[in-house]
Amino acid sequence: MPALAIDTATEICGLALGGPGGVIDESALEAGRSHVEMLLPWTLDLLLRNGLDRTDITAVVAGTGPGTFTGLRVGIATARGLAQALEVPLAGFSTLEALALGIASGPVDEPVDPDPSGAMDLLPVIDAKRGQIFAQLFRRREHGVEAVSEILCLNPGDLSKRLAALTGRRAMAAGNGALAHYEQFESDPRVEIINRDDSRHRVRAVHHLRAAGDGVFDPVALTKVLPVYVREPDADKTVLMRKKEPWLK
Amino acid sequence: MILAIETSCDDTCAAIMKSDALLSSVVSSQTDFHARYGGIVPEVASRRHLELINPVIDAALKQADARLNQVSRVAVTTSPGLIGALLVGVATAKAIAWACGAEMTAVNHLEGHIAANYLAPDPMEPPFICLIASGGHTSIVFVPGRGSFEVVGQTLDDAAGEALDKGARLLGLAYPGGAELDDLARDGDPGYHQFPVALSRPDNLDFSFSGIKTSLFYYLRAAGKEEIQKHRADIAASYQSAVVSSLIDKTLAAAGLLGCRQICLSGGVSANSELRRRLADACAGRNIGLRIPPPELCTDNAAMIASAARFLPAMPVDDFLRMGAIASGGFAKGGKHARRWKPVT
Ligand SMILES: [Zn+2]
Repeated sequence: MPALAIDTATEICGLALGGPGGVIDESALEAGRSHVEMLLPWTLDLLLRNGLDRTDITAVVAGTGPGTFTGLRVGIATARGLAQALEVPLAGFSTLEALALGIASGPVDEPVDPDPSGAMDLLPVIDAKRGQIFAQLFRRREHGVEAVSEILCLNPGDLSKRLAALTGRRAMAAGNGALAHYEQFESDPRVEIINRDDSRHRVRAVHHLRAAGDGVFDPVALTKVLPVYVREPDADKTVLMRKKEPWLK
Repeated sequence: MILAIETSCDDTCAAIMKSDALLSSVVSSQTDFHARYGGIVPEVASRRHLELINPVIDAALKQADARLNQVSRVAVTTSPGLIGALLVGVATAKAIAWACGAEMTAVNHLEGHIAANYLAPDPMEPPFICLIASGGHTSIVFVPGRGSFEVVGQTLDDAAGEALDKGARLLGLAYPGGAELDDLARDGDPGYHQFPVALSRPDNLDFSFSGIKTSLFYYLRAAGKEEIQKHRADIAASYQSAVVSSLIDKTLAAAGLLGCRQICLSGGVSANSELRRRLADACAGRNIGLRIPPPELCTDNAAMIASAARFLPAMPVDDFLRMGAIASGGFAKGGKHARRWKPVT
């Protein structure tokens, strides 16, 4: 009786199956901008290769971002639709927290805690596009991680100053936002960025399962599971229209 | 039982249909939400759709006294529309159909507007010409049979409803404004001022509404405050009349060129009183049959999507699992329906 976890906040389509007995299987494939096309086929693949069927899903967990708005909406709409139709519990968990759990637990093929003394903070970073990043500072706790800052949305160049105000420790950074600004992160004395090809830059849905109590959690109303946008919607299109037709105030 | 979902623009819609009976149709309009921006902001619409979609589906099921496990087919609008808005409906529809083991039918939004006519009472049987005019699209389509259509004319810039809304705004009416413009025009003289109607050649079935709105702007700027105050209704009537004339002329021309004796109206602009009155008169005078479905079926809704799905095939499972959404619907870029009909001169 597995829970299905989905994360579509980045270009990776992260999927995982697991329950109280632990993780059954996972996949993290490059979906680019095609989450809507690939999400169900890849979910079906994951179920089939474990001898499972859609009706075996006993709970659904969705990554709520932050990340790309469209990707998040596709993942969350799918998770909500599955929970509604299968009549199973649903919950949403932070994608930044999933990344932080990944940083703390080490790379997939060699899951050794990279910082057993816990001297460093954890800094998951997601690409916010338009030259900006979403980042949040986490600290290790006995059972997982705990956020010690709000979600930041800023230019990578401003990160060092913000970190100095938030923590005296160095922070271990990973995520597609850190990759997108690798040199910037590498030259920042407050940050230790994980190697480019390390699997911890990818969002793994297994960490949502962990955050969700291995699939045994208090369900949330469908409508409460929503993307964490961080940014307000900008009225780009309307602004554009006004430029074209300046008299339409 | 069909569950239909429509989220192509700013209304979140779901409907339930069992064989040929429409059991429920729920529309959650976002108009008030967008009023503060003075227009539809795509990102705002997408966010709102995601908030509303599951409760709207629930409401449609409840009204129909049905459960999701009774649904044998899911129908969803996949194009054309705002891409982010479409995707919320498509992702939801796919998840529900897959989870329920139901079939899937992808419906073109225009096909939906046409199929609004096939819902009771007294549908018009093809062949007919359908004028679909709303705030988002303006198309003349030829419908040779149920489940098929061909676009023979469409707007090259603004939609008719958009032109009416923008005219209303220039006259100081609140967003969206089309209905208020209609009210204001009732007391006005449509012959007060001659606004230009673009592409008025009878062998051209396309529309252009951007010029008329510009011309209203310059007209208002040149006119004195006093004249505007005194003749607001006349100006509104003249402007609306020009937009409506274009719609009627092209629709009648399409019927004539295609030798079609029936015309059907759909889209939000079909609520416009002048369009209804003048088109009815024109059709009566030419012995052409006219059908205007009830207003709640003409504006965007999911009942029309369910109606269309009845005449369309279910997709093979592999295709539906990989299904996406297309903003332009393939109309402008040479898709299935882009083959343009050329009138014989
Ligand atoms: Zn429409």
